[in-house]
Amino acid sequence: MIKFLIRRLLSMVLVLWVIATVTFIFMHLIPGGPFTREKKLPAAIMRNIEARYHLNDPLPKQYLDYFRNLLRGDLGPSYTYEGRTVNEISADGFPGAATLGLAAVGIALLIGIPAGIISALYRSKWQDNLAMLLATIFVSVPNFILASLLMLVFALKLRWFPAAMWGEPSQIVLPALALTGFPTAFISRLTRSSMVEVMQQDYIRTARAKGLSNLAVVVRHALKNSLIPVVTYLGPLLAGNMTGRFLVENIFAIPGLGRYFVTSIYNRDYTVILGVTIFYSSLLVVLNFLVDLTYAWIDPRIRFTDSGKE
Amino acid sequence: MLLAVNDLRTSFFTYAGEVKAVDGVSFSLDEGEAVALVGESGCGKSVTALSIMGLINPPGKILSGSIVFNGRDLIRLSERELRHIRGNEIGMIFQDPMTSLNPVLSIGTQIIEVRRLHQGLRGRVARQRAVELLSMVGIPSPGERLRQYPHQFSGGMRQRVMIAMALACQPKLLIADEPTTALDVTIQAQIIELMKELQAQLGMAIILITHDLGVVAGLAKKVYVMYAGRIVESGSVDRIYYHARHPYTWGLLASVPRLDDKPKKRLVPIQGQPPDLLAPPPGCAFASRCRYAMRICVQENPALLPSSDDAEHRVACWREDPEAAAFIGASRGGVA
Repeated sequence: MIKFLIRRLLSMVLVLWVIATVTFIFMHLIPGGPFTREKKLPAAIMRNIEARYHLNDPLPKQYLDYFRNLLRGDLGPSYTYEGRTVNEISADGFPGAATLGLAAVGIALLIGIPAGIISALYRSKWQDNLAMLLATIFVSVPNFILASLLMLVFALKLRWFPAAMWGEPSQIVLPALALTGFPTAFISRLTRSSMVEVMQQDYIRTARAKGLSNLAVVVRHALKNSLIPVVTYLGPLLAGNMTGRFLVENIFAIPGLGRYFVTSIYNRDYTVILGVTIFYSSLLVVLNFLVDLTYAWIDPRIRFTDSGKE
Repeated sequence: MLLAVNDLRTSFFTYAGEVKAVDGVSFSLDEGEAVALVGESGCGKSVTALSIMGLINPPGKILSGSIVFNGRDLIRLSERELRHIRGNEIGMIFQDPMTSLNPVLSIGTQIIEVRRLHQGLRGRVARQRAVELLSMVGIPSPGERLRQYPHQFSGGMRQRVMIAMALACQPKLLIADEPTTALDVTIQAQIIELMKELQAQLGMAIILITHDLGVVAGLAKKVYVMYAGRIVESGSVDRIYYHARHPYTWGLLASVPRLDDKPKKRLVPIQGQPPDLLAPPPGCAFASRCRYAMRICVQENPALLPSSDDAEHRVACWREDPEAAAFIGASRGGVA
């Protein structure tokens, strides 16, 4: 188990290094730079700026410098936002994005899993048809459309929640709902299909032959087995939602991370691109690791031995 | 009388039509008695068992008949009342011990669950009782094994666990649905031997369901041979093994390998396929595979009637009809 953890940790570092390096190379392959403007700057000024940010160094040196700083936890200064470091930007944007993301995923699990179970148990009955119709609708509607609709109905017409901005708990509700549409629908479909499969297993018949009630059969014998696909989906879902969703953040004027992620690319804001990418990948890698640990907790057949998975 | 199944009819309503999986089956057993339901795949043995347990799911449905267990007709009980009987008064074990145990719950959890449900047993007492059950079915170091998961057990050991689970509440009846089919031959013998010992010790009645006449003799006293949803012959083990009257039973017996056969002797299969239960033939379902079939066999279904020399030995075959006997007598030598 210890060996497994160490090997897993090393491979996570390796993955992050590869992602960072590839991003670094591609980023510099894109024509232009952070200070390229439509109206060209005088060459002398350009040289001064580049010298200040060490952009005139040869690329391998820039690469090594960046990684040296990265190891110390320093993601460097932003080129676009004067006087702000990437560390500050992440620290500012992440708590909001994470709160919003967690709220959205939480709602998705709370609604999606029960909806999936009900659909599976009432397969082809009206409960199932209704749930799957809703799931199809919410999988198809993009979150920015849902966001606009929610804002229109609940903020402008009914005035139940504030239309935008960030800070009050009530301001979380509408963006979280907008973000939760797709994952809720997706989770309910995943739960339904794996539940249907599990309910046909022999051990479910055994459980019923013991005299367990339907509810006990579902909760004790079927649920754990049928949650594995949902857990798999949860890793990337959490990482994606916690690092911000650009469009929804924009619509609700939320200072999240998604915004920086998108704007940094057309600003060629090298350090922000790299910083946010590394941040997102780290989160994804860690969450996937947690997903794997959850598998082992759910299913005792998956054991982490020193030779990897059994 | 512990259990009396009378004219049970269970059908499955599929898109293709009604499948009469069990079509008028009657049998009974006393307390502590062991009987066997024998027949090939799809003859309705398992559906009979699941009907007794009340575990027929849509599109399946029990259409008519009665299943009187301990004075109560199980078909007329509510789901709640049935749940109290399942696992408590009737235990059941299944064909494939590899898939019949929940892979994500420990053996202990799965055994204790039954007792807790029906007898409210919890905590240390429940664990202690589970340990006793495991050692009763011959599992070494039961205390340790209790914490393990099904994948850590071999097939034979898992079937022992299944038996321990089914017997946890000391049921009056144990239904064993092909308990040895998925196991090695040597393990098969051990499991049958175990069931025999447990029956002697605990005195429960057993319905053994199998397609293998070879495993029946060790355990059951009485045999019901099923074909296409009906019982075609029934009688004591002795009668069925040595004085069988139905051509289908002959076929089953001929397909069992024997220790005293000459080496390399081929097994004798029953020719042909079982009938399509969606569109059963009008007469005897076995007629198309029967080398002794007569004209009446494809026209009318024979009733299950006592044979001429033993009232307990019942056969559903036109050859047993007095008129046919005369005919067969007249043409003997020409047919067989």
